[in-house]
Amino acid sequence: MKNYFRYITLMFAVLFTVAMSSCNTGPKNDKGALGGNIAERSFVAPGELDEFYAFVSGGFSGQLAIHGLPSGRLFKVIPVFSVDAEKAYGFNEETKPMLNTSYGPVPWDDAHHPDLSQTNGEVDGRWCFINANNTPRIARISLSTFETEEIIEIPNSAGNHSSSFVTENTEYIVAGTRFSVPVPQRDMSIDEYKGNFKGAVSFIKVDSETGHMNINFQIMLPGFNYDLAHPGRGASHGWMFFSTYNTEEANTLLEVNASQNDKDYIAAINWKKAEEYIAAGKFTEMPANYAHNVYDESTQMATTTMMKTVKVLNPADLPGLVYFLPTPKSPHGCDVDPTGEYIIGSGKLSASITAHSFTKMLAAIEGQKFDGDAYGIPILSYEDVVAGIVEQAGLGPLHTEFDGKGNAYTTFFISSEVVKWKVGTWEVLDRAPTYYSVGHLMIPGGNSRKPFGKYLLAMNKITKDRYIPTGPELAQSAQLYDISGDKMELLLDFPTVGEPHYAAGAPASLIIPNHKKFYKLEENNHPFAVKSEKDARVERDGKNVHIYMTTIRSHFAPDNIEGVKVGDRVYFHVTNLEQDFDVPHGIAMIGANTSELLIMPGQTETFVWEPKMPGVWPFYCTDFCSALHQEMQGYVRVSAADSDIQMKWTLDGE
Amino acid sequence: MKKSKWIMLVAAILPLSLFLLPLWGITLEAPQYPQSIGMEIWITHIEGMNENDLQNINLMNHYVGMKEIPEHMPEFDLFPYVVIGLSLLGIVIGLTGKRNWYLVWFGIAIILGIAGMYDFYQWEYVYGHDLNPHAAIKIPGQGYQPPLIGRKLILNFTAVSMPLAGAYLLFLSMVLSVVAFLIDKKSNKGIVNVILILIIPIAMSCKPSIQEIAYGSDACNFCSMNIVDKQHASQLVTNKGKNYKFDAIECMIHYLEKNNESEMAYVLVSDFADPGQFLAAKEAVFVIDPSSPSPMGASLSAFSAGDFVKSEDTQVKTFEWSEVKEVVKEISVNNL
Repeated sequence: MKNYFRYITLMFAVLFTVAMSSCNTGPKNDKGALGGNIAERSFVAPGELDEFYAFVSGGFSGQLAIHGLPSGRLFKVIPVFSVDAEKAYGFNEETKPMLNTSYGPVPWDDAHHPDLSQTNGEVDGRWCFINANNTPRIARISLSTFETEEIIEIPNSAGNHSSSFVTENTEYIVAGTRFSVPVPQRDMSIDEYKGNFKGAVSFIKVDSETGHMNINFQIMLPGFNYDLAHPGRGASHGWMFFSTYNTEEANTLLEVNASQNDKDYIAAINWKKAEEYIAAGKFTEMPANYAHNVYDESTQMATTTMMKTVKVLNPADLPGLVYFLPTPKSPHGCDVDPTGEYIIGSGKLSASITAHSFTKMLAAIEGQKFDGDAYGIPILSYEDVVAGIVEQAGLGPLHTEFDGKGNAYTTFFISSEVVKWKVGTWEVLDRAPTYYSVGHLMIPGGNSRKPFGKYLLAMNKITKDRYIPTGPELAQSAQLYDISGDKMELLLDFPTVGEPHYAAGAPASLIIPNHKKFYKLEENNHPFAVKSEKDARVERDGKNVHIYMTTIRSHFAPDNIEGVKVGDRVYFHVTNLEQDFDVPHGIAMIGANTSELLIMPGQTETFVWEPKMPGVWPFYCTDFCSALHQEMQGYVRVSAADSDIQMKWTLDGE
Repeated sequence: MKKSKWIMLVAAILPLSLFLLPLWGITLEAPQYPQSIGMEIWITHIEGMNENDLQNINLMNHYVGMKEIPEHMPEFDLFPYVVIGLSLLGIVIGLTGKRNWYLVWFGIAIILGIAGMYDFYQWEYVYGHDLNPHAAIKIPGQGYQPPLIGRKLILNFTAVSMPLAGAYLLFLSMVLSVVAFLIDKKSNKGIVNVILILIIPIAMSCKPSIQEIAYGSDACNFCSMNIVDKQHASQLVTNKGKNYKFDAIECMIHYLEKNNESEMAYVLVSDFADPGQFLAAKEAVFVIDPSSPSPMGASLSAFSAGDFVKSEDTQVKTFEWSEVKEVVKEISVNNL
């Protein structure tokens, strides 16, 4: 009897243990955070610097966030497509033109895919490019000043998603259309979409010295959805690959109607051929209207030029320009391995990943082995171009990057994981869960010829329970994995700004040497700059009052101004006379219907104030600049419109 | 030509390097200036070590009312002639080959060098003391004079004043003139004399000596706080002649935990009854009295053993030097 009792107790104990362990469905690290030295590997001790920069897209914030890796710390949010009152971006007179478009000023956009400039297929640390998805634009950000220097609008396009990817010597940035539209835009029935709407892809030439962008040509493709793009490299340099979906050309309920074809295409575009056709004059010069906004570091002013034409190539008439590679299940990601041989198409409704061979593609083109055409563009046979398939790797593959050691890493949105597989043998080597629903991933240099295969950043769409909650809107998140060993190891979760789509990464040692510490006063050619306190002054020009003001620790000059009247338009042109690292000054005026200014050493910025009431109105420095920051203030006396108070400005009574 | 003559000629030409190289440097180090800022003093002008350093030093200094670093000083007009004169004189002497005159030239160079240093000190004094009475930050008793040579804590900055390449070459020039004097001498008697001349000042500078504490501006070598309390300051002088000053006896004891007391020529504590006067620690009586706080919280004071009369108060405990060290260690451990 006693023995039975013992067995029963034992059985309960076993059952209980099994039940407990099966309940434990939370995140499982093989070793647990305390089991290994996980914390240590993402820890950057106080005073130490991160090894990599990560330029993470701000998604619907419209901005670009700079994080350090491996710490995940956020260092700066660079305003790109959205106004930023903190930095006066889009508020001060200097940067207002940056947000001009053919639709007028647009204060917001949705920024998706940062990509870094390259030389010989390697990241060179000069510029970061990023696309605006909603009102199609491409921006160029200097990695010396970490400021947006240029924005170019893309005509004939909508849903600028398969953008802004950089060729291996930064010859071109591409910008493709996700939402095909009538070109040129016209009033027509939406039901006539099929065959009438167009998907333009634009090739934007980049000046190798200045980085200035101009649209060299557009290729007018059929009305599919051009989703993502990747340039060839090495042998395939000179080609650009775009994934497509909705080859059904549906214009309503796309979630069903665009998912009918078993295969869509990857469009292979020979841009060197396109250059030949342009040189031979085989293009149409099409009327257009798009904004080109350039910030000049010398005058510290942005200007907008409206561009009026664009060169268009029609692929149906130009043999050898575009081929379609059938690719299963609405491919999303379109990625090229570091050797340039394999073009990876991730059918987002599939369980497998398709790799096409560039060599086989060239052979098929050479042999004229076409399987029909779409609107005059030859379609290659799937069997002739496919190199291999990573079978049953997960569910919903999206994006692939490479570690430079022959391995590829693909994100799976539906099964919420990163899968490591071997290029060439197509075998799955490892898989790691993400929390949750990963979109893009980024390995520094991972889309170039020379990846730095130490860390992998997975950017997630959903965080749920990963952070302390902040109401219905939760933090967006990225996760850092160590990929230096055979197995991926999750090191760190960190929140990001907006929704992180794609990111770009580069070694800090590449960026730091070019980093600008401050603007030299002698190189400041701002028309309203004053370079010494003795030149500070106030000038009246009818109703416009221009205050030429200087700021240096810890005072403004002038700081007492009289003679301003109700109804005046008062321009504060403020020059920061400091010539030292990390000494910005700010300025804000009570009741001004605009943002503060935050002026870097050696810079001049301008805000406009329209005083509405007589009185004495204070302004002050908004950046805690020094021990006597609290003393850094001034007054403007505003008199009635008909007053005869003379213009007068002083500092310390002088 | 004799070897000595050549050497003398090289010695005579070396001072001309001052037209190409800076003479002296003063750098300012502070946490918010991780790449320290500084100025280089040349015989013709002062310049920043990095671009804009002078503007930034002036900006910093204007808060405490210091004048701007002068763009021009009368010395800058004079020094080039002095240097050229010294060099020409050396060349003439070198060409005559009269070795005794080499020593005379050496003497002149030394005198000029000392005069230059004295002038430098005078400028530093004025620079550090002639303050604008309307300065934003005023700290009674605080001077801002940079050290003549070495390091000094001035508010949040450590000022480091050190010779630069020009000064080293000038020194080399002087040494060479002496070498030129010695090298062809048959008897070595002269060497002894010269070595003595050179050694004595060095030996003097190394002789352990007690220094006055500049209350209000000297900082504690242990806790870095300014030394203001004359009743509790203490001082160590090493056998090599280095001085360490402390704002409290407990700071000195903590310093000795990591440094060997046997290397100290003097271990000194302030006499509580005679503020500012130092006693040898071994001849003092130490009192821990909670009603009489000391700067770093140990309530520890020292009295001359001869004058000390034991109090009847049972709260007050007295110790000898060897005992008090242990007690202070324990107090700090308990406080941790």
